[in-house]
Amino acid sequence: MTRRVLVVDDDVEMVRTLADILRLRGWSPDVAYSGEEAVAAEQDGDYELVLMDIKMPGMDGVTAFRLIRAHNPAARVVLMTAHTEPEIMRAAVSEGAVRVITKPVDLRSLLRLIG
Amino acid sequence: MATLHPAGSIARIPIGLKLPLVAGMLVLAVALIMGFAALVAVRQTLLATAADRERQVAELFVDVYGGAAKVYANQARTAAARPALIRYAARPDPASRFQALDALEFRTGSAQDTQVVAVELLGGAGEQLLATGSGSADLSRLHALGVVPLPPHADSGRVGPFRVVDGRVVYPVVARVGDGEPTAHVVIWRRVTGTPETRRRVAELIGTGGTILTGNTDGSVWTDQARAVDGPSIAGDVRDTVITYRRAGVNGPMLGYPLAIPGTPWVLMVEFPRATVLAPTSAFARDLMAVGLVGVALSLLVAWLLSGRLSRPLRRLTAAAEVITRGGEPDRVAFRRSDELGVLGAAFDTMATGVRDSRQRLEDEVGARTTALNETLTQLRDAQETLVRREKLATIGQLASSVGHELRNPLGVISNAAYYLELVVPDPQPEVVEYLGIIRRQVEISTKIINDLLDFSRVARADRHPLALHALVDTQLRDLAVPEGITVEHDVPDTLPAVFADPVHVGQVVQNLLTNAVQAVGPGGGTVQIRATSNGDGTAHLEVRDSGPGVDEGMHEKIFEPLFTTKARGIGLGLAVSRSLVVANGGKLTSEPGDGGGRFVLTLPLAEQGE
Repeated sequence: MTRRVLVVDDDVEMVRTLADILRLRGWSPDVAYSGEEAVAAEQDGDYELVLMDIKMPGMDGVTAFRLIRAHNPAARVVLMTAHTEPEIMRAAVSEGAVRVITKPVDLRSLLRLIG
Repeated sequence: MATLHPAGSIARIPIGLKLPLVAGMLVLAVALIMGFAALVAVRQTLLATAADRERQVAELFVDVYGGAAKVYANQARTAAARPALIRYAARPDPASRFQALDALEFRTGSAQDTQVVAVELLGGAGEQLLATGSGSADLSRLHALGVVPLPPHADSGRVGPFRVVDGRVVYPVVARVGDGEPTAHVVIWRRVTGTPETRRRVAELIGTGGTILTGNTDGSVWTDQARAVDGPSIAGDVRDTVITYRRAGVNGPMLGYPLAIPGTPWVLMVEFPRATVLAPTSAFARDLMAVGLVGVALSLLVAWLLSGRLSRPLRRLTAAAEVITRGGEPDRVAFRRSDELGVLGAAFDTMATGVRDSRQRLEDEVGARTTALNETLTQLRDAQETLVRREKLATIGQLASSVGHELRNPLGVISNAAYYLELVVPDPQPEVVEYLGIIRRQVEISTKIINDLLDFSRVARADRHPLALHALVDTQLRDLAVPEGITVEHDVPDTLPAVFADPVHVGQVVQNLLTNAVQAVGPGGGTVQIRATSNGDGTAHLEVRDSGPGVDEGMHEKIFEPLFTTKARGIGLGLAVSRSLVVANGGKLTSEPGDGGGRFVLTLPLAEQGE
């Protein structure tokens, strides 16, 4: 059974590298480049995990995360951020995000986390 | 003294001289006034006494002279009553001339009485009918002077005014002869002679220097009983009082008491030289002056002594005040006296002590203030430096924050790309593995720098919970990349009481300390020790040691300052961020001297203390 993951970031190369690594680790990644795309994609697909950047043009990651959770309360979302404001990180975790990780993403830790 | 500005020349005279002068002058003035008053009183007394004596003597002699005048007048009347004279006067008959002459000569006593100069019988027209006596040769001259005829029915005998003839004083005694008209007169000319006996008695009565003068009431002739003398011009105005006058023949003014002799045209006057009367005054004045001089001398002496007692303390006070003015410390004045000067001296001493104490206090205060000022200046300078540094840091922080965030994405991509290559390259050459490692490490270093920058530019707010150090250290050690050759010794017992802190903050601090320790040991290899204790003071101590070169003496605090670094790379924010995080969690982070290596001690409050 393929494990489906949605990788969301406005940085194309970030999306590309993350998706490639996850694919190598046995995941089946889909990609999106904005919050709106992510919300739409999540409604169509059945993802085990959403890996999403917070700071994006248009809809940001936190808003998209809330919409996804509203649609699918069981969705597992890991948020990524270049910022380290503890308030945002704690708020997101308290609302059900699996983890908020800071960029650059420590891939070993991430892979350990998501299994 | 130089500070005084005297108003006038008197103010320039020292008190030591001024006081005796003033006292002397006062005493002199008093002595003079009193002496003058005494002299005046003495003079008045002397003059009154003299006047009294003169009056008494004059009254006595007026009686004598008055009595004598009556006797002489009676004598003249007796002679005039002789029938032979009456007959001859009525009808000058040469036959009866002899009888008449005899009567004239012997009945008048002219033959025996040496005072009788001459006797004459004058006719009704005043013509001389008969004349006799020792002085008859001069009768023509006497007669020529004229005799005021006695008025009809008047007293039949009386004396007339004195006249001077050839330096001798004579006077007529006149009596009427019979009752016929015109009236004939007997005139007995008598000489004024003072006998030695008379003078002796006078001297006994009025003392030497005194003289008795007689004269006419019109003041025309005066005599001292021996000869005619000069006398005062009383011009018939004789009052019962003393008169002062000068007359020829005597020196100086005379005091006389004129008294009219009743029944005669005469005045009797007792006189004394004024100088004689007032002679005791001179002696009195002399005595008074001697006493006054002695008094002035004594008062000068006393005043000099007193002023010395007054001015010596003042001079001492002046000298002491000058010492104080020069900033010195004067000896105590301490006058041994209880008067105003004694009180002044005591007050001065108190003041001098006060001035000394005040000066000392002032100096102390100035010293203290100067020290405080210097401290404040130092603090100000430090604060200024801190401010400048903070401003610099704030600017850096803003810049770093935006740059840091933007760098994280590309770093992430680089990191991802390297990781991907590690995964996809089968049997890679050693150089490839090595270079991928280099990329990964440099990305980590860059990430660390960015994290420090972002952490430092953010105000740390601790979300504190009870926290087990054992588990936290385990997690950090698992994530720590430890190069080969470095041994990490871990001694954090799981029995250690929980601390009360923000796990993220403490994790970051521990990670920073471990990373620093590993870097301090360096590629040469060595050991890193981490251990924790709690010694019952409500805190836990986490200690990280390394076998590196250690922190230089004097740098233990400096290394916590932002932007301070000893590393070739790094911007010197790691320890500054760590300390601010620890402080935000109620703990402290210090660098301690170790056994040759670095030794950092993290102190955190225990959970049961913190809650």
